[in-house]
Amino acid sequence: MARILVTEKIADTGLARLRDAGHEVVIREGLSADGLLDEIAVANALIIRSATQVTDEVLSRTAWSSSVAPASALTTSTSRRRRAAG
Amino acid sequence: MVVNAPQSNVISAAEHTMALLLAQARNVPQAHSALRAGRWERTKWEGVELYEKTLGIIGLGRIGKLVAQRALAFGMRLVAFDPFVAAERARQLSVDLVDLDTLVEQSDFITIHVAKTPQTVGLLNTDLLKKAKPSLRVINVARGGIVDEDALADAIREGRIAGAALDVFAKEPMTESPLFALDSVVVTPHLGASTAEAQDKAGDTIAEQVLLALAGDFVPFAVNVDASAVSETVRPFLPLAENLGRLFASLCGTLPDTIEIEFQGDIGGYDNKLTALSLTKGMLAYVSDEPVSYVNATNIARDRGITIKSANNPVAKDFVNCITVRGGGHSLGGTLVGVRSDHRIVSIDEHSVDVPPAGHMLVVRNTDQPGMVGFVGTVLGQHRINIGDMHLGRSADGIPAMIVIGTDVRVSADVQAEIAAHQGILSVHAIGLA
Repeated sequence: MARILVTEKIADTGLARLRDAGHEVVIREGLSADGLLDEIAVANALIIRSATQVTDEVLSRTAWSSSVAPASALTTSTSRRRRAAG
Repeated sequence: MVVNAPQSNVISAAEHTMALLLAQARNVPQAHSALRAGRWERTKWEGVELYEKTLGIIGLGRIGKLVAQRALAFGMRLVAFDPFVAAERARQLSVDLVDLDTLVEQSDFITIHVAKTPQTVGLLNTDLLKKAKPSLRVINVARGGIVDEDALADAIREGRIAGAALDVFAKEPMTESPLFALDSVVVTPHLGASTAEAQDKAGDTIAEQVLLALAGDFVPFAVNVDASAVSETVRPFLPLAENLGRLFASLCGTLPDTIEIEFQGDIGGYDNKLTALSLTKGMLAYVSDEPVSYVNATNIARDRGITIKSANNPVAKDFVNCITVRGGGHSLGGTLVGVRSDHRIVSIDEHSVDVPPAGHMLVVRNTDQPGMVGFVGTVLGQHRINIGDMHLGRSADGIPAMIVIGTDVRVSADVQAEIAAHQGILSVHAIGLA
């Protein structure tokens, strides 16, 4: 099963679907740039909104950059950041 | 693979537009602030009705259409400017399509629903606002910068227009704007998509897409296509098809109701469903205010009343492989050349050319007579537009009657008109990928 890194606030219902499918959802809101470089190296997918900067350096650290690992995804949401309630 | 969650926020954006439209018309936030501060001001905040007022919609895409439907319920008269929507399609929505000047002249309210592109930045500027009625109120829930904020503030301050409501700004976060000092301006901090429903939809869509990607399945909202599902022969043509789509949209101006794509030569022997989709995606991305993906491209085309016909023809003609798109009296053909599969445009409007696609290109059709190339070059030079490269296209009888010029910047409408006015020039089109 995959390790999915989530660095911003994503709706709980969506995250629950990922967990229900057996994936490991790792939530690291407010991760530093260096922290992202460390975490991305051991993740199979990354879910972000508009705040996380995915630089070339971040992409180069991904374990899935070659076509050998087709079952991996870098994903982004186009929606704007929403203030978390409470 | 990169995927996104488009369309999660279209309803929220349309509803926020209505919220600002009403708030602007009835001074709700201003009166609210005054009352909270202990002031019962009934005369000061007199408003206007939406009923029987003209709403000008700039951009009649997914969100513009939702706004039109809602405004219709308020009894508003609707006009719209969208060069990429067919008049018939607009009529079905009870919207009159007009040019931008007419829209500004007639509107009591203007709402903007176009993507931010080099062509739309500063679209609503000082010159255009001069044509407005004093009753005009401008709403922008699309993207910052499409309305020139300084020009807008001046127009309101000088009483040339009545007011504005903005959710988006050229620079964000924006906390100090000349607009904020004006009583007839309503502002929100980019809340267009900020609803529980839009965020839930985005979360659900993203989760769904990630699950598909991790399972190795086809991912509908993939921004970059999973090319492994396509044959080796067809795969390199996907980016060419997308570029041809963009260029064709820029060549047409208004997308025609029917678009025909022909796959000729070797690729004509393969399944080109995804190649046609790639071309459609490029074409719609050029004209659409929303993200276009491999899955929504077909739906967006249908919404805009565009029929896409695709035909395979395994018999090669002038090229081993060629993709040609035709419609609305225009045509554009392209192929791949060399070991690096470089993109080449090989025909424009049935003239043979040999040009790499570029960000900005000028296509000039002319009568075959001396001095045409020199004239066009001189005009561009006078306007300090640098020429990157230039090709002469030939018509079917071999006569050079087309000039294709790659320029460093987009050639403005004024310069195009100057060239078009010259004796012997038949047509001028600025096309390009940018």
